[in-house]
Amino acid sequence: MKRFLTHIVLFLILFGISSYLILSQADGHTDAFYTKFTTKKQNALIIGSSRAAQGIQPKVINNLISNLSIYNYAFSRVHTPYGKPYLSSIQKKLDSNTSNGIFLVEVNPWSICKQKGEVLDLTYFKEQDSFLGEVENPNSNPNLTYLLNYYNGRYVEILTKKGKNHHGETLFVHNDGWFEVKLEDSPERTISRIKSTVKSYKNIRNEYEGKSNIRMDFLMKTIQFLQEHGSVYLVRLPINEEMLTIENGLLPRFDSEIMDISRMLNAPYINLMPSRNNYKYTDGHHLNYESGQEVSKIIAELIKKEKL
Amino acid sequence: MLFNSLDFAIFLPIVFVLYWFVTQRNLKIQNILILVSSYVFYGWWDYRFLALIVFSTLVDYSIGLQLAKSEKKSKRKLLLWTSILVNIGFLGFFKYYNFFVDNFVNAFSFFGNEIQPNTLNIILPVGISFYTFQTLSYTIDIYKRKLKPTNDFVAFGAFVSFFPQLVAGPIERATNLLPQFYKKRSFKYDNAVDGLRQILWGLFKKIVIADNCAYFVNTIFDNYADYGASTLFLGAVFFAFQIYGDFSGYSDIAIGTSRLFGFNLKQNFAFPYFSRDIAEFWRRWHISLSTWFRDYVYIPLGGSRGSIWNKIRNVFIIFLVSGFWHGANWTFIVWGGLNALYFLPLLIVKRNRVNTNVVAEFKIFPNLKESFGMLFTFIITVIAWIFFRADSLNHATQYISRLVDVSLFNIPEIRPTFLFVLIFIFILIEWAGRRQLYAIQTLWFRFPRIIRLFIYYLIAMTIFLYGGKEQEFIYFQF
Repeated sequence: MKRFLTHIVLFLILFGISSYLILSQADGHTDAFYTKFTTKKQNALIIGSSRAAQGIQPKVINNLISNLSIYNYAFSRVHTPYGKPYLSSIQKKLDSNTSNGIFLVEVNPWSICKQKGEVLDLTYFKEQDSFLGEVENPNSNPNLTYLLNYYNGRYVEILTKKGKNHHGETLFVHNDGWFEVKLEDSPERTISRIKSTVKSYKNIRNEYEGKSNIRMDFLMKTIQFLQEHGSVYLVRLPINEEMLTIENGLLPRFDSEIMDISRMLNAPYINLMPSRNNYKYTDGHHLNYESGQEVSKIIAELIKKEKL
Repeated sequence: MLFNSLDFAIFLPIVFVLYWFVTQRNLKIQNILILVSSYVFYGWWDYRFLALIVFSTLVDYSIGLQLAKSEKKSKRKLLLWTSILVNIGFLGFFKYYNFFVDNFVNAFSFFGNEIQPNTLNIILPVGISFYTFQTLSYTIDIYKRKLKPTNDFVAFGAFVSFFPQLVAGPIERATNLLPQFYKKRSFKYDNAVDGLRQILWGLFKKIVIADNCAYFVNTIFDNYADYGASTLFLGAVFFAFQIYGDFSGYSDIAIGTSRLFGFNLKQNFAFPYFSRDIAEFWRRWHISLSTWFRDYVYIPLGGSRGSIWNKIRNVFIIFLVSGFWHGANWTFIVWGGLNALYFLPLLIVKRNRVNTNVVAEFKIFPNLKESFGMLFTFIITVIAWIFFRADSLNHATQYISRLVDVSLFNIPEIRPTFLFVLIFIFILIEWAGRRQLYAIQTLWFRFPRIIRLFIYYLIAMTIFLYGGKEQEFIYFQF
């Protein structure tokens, strides 16, 4: 028995070390979220959905505002509607000593709405069952909790997915949290992707019931929490016309409600929707690389103006 | 609790330590530990259904004792039928109630009588088809005086619910497994290492082969209208590997785990895809179920004795029942029927027991005839698997009708190179180890120990690297 146990333990140690070494190779190529859970606590954050994750480029803002190192901690419509789990994750990601940070809170109707049949009360939010609620420490590298429980691929891909994908496209989360999606697209492919996204969002729209007071409450709580550590700016990123029609159908008074919050909490509202026709989108609601750069620049300029 | 889960990875060492270090001096306590652990293992999924196992155990234990006491034929028959009705009753209710109601309603609707179906939202208790058959065989064997009933309730309870094989077999006979609970088990290094080796190979089959095939199988079967014939054929071939990897992988883990505790379970799969005809395939696929049906259904019906029509009837009955055992869907029944059709010609020309040895037993490669036999058997099996995998008969027939197309000779639209490589390596290892109980049992014994360990390490790392998302075992649903 002693021999058996010794051999088992030695084998498991070897297996454990090898596995750990493989997992520690995970990086921005691994998936759209992993890296965000591996960096240190931050002093300035971009929060919101995938629109912000892909559309707001921290390096552009950091270059224009001196002494700023803003970090993109935005995820997706599914994972980060405003609620207790996201707020709690933000609290863990933010350095509690921060006093003069800058926080961009991206808002859109999906992030404050409730899905049909969704159990939503002050004690339960559906996203708490995802990595957002379950990863206790979003500042650990490698983040084993995430990789062992929430990584969807095969671990071999941690080693093999290190460059452009087989379409020659870049999908990479940078060290500043920005999710770079650089597609080598023909106009036809873009049109077809926009068509398919609009179609799928028409279906998604039907899954939503309407505004949730609980989520609205948590949006305000999130703003108030961040205001304890610096200045908060509410940002509505542009989307194309068809997507806007769907969103207006879901929440027609969205802008005025956000304006109310903005006034009430004294958090400036940067609404880029009116200039939506000036930008290009990969699929109708995610800004492409160049437009994202432009939008990030505009946001930085507005913040600078506001600060002055 | 899934074998390929973290829960089981924690559960197994705890039970192992308690078994060999805490309870090893007292056989009764060791059996109690197995019984309790088995109930924990099962209750992890849904504790409410434990009552079913306990009830089934109590019924068959009591009937077994009563059968031993009774000499009166009519009473013995009554006891036997009580056991059959209770066990098949549970199975029938939980697994087949809605199927019968739906079909009854459809049949009436066909004749113009509309009736409202009264189906229930029934959860199928995991493993019910397996432990029901296991306990039934105990009662039937006592009735046939092939077995003496046990007075040891704990041993019997542990036999019925033995956690390594509780939810997906192998379906053990009381004659093999029950006596092992009476004898003191001693730890043997070689047995334990052999058990671990079999677990490792089972995990490889399940996690690397079956789960990776599953992804493409689901994609192709769910969107079959979007693909050409060659891709559809590839999807069916992948399913053949998925179901083999899944189910034989489970059996390997079950048998290996049992060996860690000093138990020997029967081999459940003997490299079925290296069969030269369909009769050989059925002697090598899910052996514990095939032999159960042979001993308790086929032989009592007359088996291969009597007129040709009796033989044909018996073959159809056994295959159709076997198909229906797999699930309450016409697809499984057709799958069974198709296999019966494959089998019949061999039976009629009395060539169903030609290939009873291992293919190319003393050679490295098979000859042309053997190769053709294996290829043909594999292809007809793949066609039958389409019914097994499809959601409905319509789905299966549509899928098959799209296979008959010139695009069968095109390059498939889906070409996962990594999976082709993995399956190729898998086939090579299985072929090299086909004379053993499982492929890697003694496969690398001629190499120095350090090399062997390195190979096992590579297999473990492949499992880690190529493991997809944790997938439930297919046979859990049966």
